[in-house]
Amino acid sequence: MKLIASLKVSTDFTLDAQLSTNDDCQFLGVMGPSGAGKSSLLRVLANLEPASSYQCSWTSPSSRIGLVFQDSLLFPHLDVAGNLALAQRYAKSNSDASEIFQGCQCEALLERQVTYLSGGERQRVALCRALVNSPDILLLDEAFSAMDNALSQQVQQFLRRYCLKHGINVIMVSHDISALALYCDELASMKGGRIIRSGPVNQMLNNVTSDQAENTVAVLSGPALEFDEAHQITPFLCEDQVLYARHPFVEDGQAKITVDPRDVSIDLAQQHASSILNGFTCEVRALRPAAAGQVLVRLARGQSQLFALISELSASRMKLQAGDTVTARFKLR
Amino acid sequence: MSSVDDWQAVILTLQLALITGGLLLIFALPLAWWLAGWRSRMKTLVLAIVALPLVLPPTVLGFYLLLAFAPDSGIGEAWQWLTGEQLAFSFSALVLGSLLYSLPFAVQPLYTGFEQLDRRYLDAAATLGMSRIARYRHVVFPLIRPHLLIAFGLTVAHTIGEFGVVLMIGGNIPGETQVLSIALYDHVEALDYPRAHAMALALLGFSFVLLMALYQLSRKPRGAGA
Amino acid sequence: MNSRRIVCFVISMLMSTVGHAQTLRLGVAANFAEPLKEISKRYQQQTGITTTLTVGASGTLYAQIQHGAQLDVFLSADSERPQALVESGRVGSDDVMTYAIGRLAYLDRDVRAPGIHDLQTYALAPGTRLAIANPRLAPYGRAAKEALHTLTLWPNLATRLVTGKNVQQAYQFYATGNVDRALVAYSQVYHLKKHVHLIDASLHQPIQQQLAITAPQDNRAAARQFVAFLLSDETQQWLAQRGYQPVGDEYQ
Repeated sequence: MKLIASLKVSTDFTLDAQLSTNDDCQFLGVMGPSGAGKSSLLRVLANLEPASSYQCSWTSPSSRIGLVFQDSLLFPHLDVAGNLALAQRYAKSNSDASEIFQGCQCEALLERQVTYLSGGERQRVALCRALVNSPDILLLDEAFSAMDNALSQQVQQFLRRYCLKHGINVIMVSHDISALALYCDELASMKGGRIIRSGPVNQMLNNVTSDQAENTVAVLSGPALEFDEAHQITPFLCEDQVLYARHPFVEDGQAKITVDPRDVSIDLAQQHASSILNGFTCEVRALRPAAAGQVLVRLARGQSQLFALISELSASRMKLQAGDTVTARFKLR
Repeated sequence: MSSVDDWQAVILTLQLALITGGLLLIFALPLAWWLAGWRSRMKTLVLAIVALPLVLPPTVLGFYLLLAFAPDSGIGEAWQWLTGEQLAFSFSALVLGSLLYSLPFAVQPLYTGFEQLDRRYLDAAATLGMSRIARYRHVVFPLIRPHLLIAFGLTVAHTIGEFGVVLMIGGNIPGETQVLSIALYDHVEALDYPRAHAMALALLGFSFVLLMALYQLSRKPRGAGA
Repeated sequence: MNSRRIVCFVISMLMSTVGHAQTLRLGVAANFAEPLKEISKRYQQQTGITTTLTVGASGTLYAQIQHGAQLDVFLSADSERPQALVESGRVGSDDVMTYAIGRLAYLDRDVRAPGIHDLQTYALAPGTRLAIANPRLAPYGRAAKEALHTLTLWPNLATRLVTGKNVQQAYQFYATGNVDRALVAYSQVYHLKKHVHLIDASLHQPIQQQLAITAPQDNRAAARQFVAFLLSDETQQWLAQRGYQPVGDEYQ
C-alpha cells in the first residue's frame, strides 16, 4: 500500500507521513518514541480529523476503518454485551460473533459493567467490539498494553489468524517491539511526525541504529516440531539447530520467537554445556559500543541474526572479535 | 371569581409549564451543545447573557416585555401581522416570557452535561460506522439523560412558580393568562384566605411531587460518569 | 449571661423608639402615595412633625397590620380594609373615616376629546382590550365595573377586559401602548389635556378611600392631629385640584 498523510496538529507539531509497503504486507507495525505522532497518524487514517488530508491506497472511500483506542472508550452507559451489540448492529456485514468473543477471551465478561472492568479486560472488549463491527481496515493504538504477557500473546495470535482469514488489513502502533516483530509483516519507525524508516521486519531489525540498541529484538524462526508433552515445550529447527520455546507463535508450520539482546549471553563452550536451555551456535559479525559500558554484539548463522548486549569487560576478557564462533545462550521463555 | 376559575388557573399553569418546558428543550439543546464545544473569548459573555434571567428581577423582565409586546413596537407589531392577534395579554405572550425567564434553567444543566461528556465517545462511535444521528441517539442522548430530565423538570417547576413576569404582561384574564400564582395573589389581596391556602397547598404539593419524580428519574445510568 | 445582655439590648431599643414618638408612621396604598408625600411635607413645615411612609398594596398593608406591624395611620385605597380592621377589633369604629373620594376617568387613545358615547361605541366594535383595575381587589376597578353595568356595557365587555392588579397597572397598560382604552383614577390623569373624560359620579358608587388610626395609645393624639390636618378644608381643596372630590359633602 501507499500512504500519504498530513495534518497540522498544533502550532508546533505537523504530521507529515509517507510510506510505501510491499503488496503482500497485511500487518504493518508502527513504532517510535512518545510524541512522534503515532496516535495522530491513526486518527487521520480513521477519518477523525476533519482538517487533515491523506491518501492511502489500502483504503477506498467505502472502506470501514475500525480503531481500537488507547483508552478503549467503551460506552459507559451500556454493559459489555450492550457495547458489542451496538457494534454488531452497525457492522457492514455479519461476523462470527462467538468466534470473536472466544478469541478475545470476552465470553466471561458479557454481563459486566464497563466501569468495573480492569484495564486488560477493557482492552479485550474494545478489540472485540472493533472486530464484530466487521472493519476492512483495523487500526490499533497500544491495544494490548494493559494485558499480561501470556494473555496478550494469545489474543494477538488470534488477531493475526482472524485478520488474515478475513482479509482485514491491520496497522498496529505499539511500544512492544517483540509483539511487532512477531506479528507484523513490515514495520515503520516514526519520529517528529515523520516516518523515518520502514521496511520488512527482518530488514528493520537487522539494521538497528545505535540509539535503538536497548530496544531491539531478534527474531528466530524455523519449522516447528512436535510438541513435547512430557516437558511442555515446543521445539523448532533454526539453522539446523533445535531451539525450544513454551508458546512460540506458529504460523503455517513455522515457529517464531523473539529474543531480547539483554537475555543473551555468549560463551565459547559447546552447545549443551549449560543449564540455559537454548544454545545457538553462531558467528560474531560485529561489535559495537553501546551505552553504560556495554557492547552490542551482532551474531549470525545462515539467514538468522541475533544480538547480545554484554558488558565491555566481558567482551575484552573473552577477546571477542568478528569471525569467532560462539554459543549464544538465552533462557526458555 | 369561582372555583371554576381556580381549576382553570391550575390547568393553565400546567399548560404553560409543559409547553415552555418542551419548547425550551428544543431550543436549549443545540444552544448548550454549541456553547460546550465553543472555544472563544466571547464564551463568558454569552454564558453571562444566558444566565441573566437568573439575577434579573422578574418584574424588570416583565416590564421590558410589556414594552416589547406592545402593538407599536417591533415584536408586537410582527406578531400582529403574522397572526392577526394582539400579543400582549395572550397565552402566547406568557409562553414567550416564560421562555426567557426560564432559559438558564434549561441551558445550565444541559451545558454541564455536554461539558462533562467526553467527545471521544463520539469518535469511537464514528469508527463503528454510526451516522451523526445514530451517534446522538446511542451515545450523546443516553449520557446526558439525567441532565435533560433536570433541565426539563427545573424549567417546568420554575415556570409553575412564575409570578413577577406574568403579573406585568398577563392582564389577569381567566382561562387565558390567569395562572396559579396570580390567582393566589388575588385571593390574598381579596382577603379570601381559605381559597388562598387551598391554592398554595396545590402549588406546593404539585411542585414537590414533580421535583421528587425528577430526581428519582435522573439518577445516573449505571456506570455513567467517572 | 448572654440572655441578660440581649434583654438589656432589646429594652434600650424599645426605649429609643419611645423617645421618637414625634415621628408618625403612615402606611398608604400606592395610588395615594404621591399626594400623601406632598401633604406630609406641608404638615412638617407647619408643625415640625416628621412622617415615614410605607407604600404598598392595601391588602398587603392590611395583612401586615393584622399581624402586628407598627403603623400609626393606615390609608387604604378602599373602605373594605379599614372596615375589616374594625370588625376584627383591631381599631374602634370611630378610628375609621373617609379621607378622599376618588373619581373615575376614561382614557381613549383614538379620540382627542372623548365622551361617554365613545366608550359605548367601543363596546360594540372593540379593537385592543379595555384596561381596568381588578374589580375584586381595587375600588377603582369595582367602580369601573359598576359604571359599565350602569351603561349596560358590561355583558359586551366582560370578556374583552384586561385587569391590572391595581389602577396603576391599568394605566401602565395604556401608557405602554398595549391597550387603547382604559378606566383609571382621575387623580392619575387630571393633568392631561387630551384623551381624558371624567366619568360622571352618578354612574357608580362613590369611591370612598378610608383610613384607620392604628396608633398605639401614646401616639394616638399625634395621629389624630395629622388626620385632622388631612381632613381640613385647606388640604381637601388642594386634593380637589388633583382629581379627587372633597370629603366634606360625603363625610359620614
